[in-house]
Amino acid sequence: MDKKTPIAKLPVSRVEDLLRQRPFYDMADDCPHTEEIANALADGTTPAELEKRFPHVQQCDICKASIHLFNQMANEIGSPEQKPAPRPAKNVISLSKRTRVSRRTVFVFSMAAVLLAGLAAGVGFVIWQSQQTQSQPDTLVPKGASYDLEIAVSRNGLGFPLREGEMVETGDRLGFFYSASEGSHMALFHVDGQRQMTVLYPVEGKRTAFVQKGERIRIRDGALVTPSTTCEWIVALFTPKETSLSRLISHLRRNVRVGENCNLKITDMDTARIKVQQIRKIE
Amino acid sequence: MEHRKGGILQIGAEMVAQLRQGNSDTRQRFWEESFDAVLAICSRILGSGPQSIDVTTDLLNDFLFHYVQNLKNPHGAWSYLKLMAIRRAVRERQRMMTGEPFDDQQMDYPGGEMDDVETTVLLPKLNQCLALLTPKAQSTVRLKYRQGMSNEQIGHVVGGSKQYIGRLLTQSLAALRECLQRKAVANG
Repeated sequence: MDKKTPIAKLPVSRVEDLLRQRPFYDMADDCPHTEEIANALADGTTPAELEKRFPHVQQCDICKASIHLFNQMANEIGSPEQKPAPRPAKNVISLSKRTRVSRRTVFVFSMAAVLLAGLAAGVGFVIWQSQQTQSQPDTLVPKGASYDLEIAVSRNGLGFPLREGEMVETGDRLGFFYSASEGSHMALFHVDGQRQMTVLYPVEGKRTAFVQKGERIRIRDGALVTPSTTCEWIVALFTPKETSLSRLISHLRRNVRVGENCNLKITDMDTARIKVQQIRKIE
Repeated sequence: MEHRKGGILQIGAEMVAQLRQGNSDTRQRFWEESFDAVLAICSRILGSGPQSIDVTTDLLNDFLFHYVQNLKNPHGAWSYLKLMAIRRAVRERQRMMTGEPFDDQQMDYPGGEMDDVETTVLLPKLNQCLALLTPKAQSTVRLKYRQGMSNEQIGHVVGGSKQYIGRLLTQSLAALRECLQRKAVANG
């Protein structure tokens, strides 16, 4: 190799050398049971059954992550059945359609659009402000409102949603996403089998935090799963007005019951909408 | 027989038998039919880019020339391929995320030693430049320079005559060279 060759005058042979030198791991598979595991997965064997059949899986992070992803992708990837894109409505103006429009017309329409947008923004702001001030005194959760909580897990560098019935493992990092049809106040708790409660969100402050309405909005505070000998749950409370966290905790303590088979029962609260997801089950 | 809903990818016992015999038409058909599906799996884990195409290309190559001979259950070939793609992509992703240094013993250097500084500068740029090539061109480059296959062998796998593969490689190398030079000049 000519070390004096300037990079700007790179010969093709040098590019070939670089291509040969691209670092890449030897991908020889180190799991002796990949084919059997694949066949078992294709037959619908659950991860728990797989761990019993192949003890190696219990210790192998790659196997665990792969099995999880295999099941997760079963209905997503590898299926060419995709819904066709919806046809545009007939009243949508086609941008590809060539029509002669005079500059004057464009100017008039642009100005009208700007004025309308400004007007709409102004009206929206006034409505939003009035909602902010009016909704505070309400004490009951609106009947039609819907709230949801989703948990995302980061394990061994992989991220995936925690579905109903799936459990976390020690060392997992958890992220939380809420969906709310109305702006409300929210608090997130970790509850264990001994009814110990830890506030996960908001970490700072002593009162619930206001959350905007929206779908799958990430909560900035996450959690790290530590070893535990009891069942665990994540409980999200949505309240229409700002509430003190200590009051919510004492309220929860009074209303939470841990039943048989690790069932967490929370008596409904008029002033809060509750979402519970179990994250650990100890038999 | 097939594990793909809708039935595009069908790896049955008959196909496996032909692959074991080294039937080049079947190899080509297998490559064409499975490449996109395997790449989709790898891209889901690694993101779309040269790494996903590398993993896909190496896996399909290994499957065609090694794993297919040892398959115990030909009917489960697609599941096996899918799980292998996930495993390899997960391992590559782990390596990328942890920034784990490469183990010299696990790498080979058929090109011999190069100037460390220049290589360190150029290799990341090479990855960016590779991403500009088509997936087929990237696979061809990979099979040529990683697996050491001849143009004829590559043609039997990815499809095309050895002349076509030769032209594709020449064009790809020219494009990579131009891209590397442009990036090197831009960065001084």
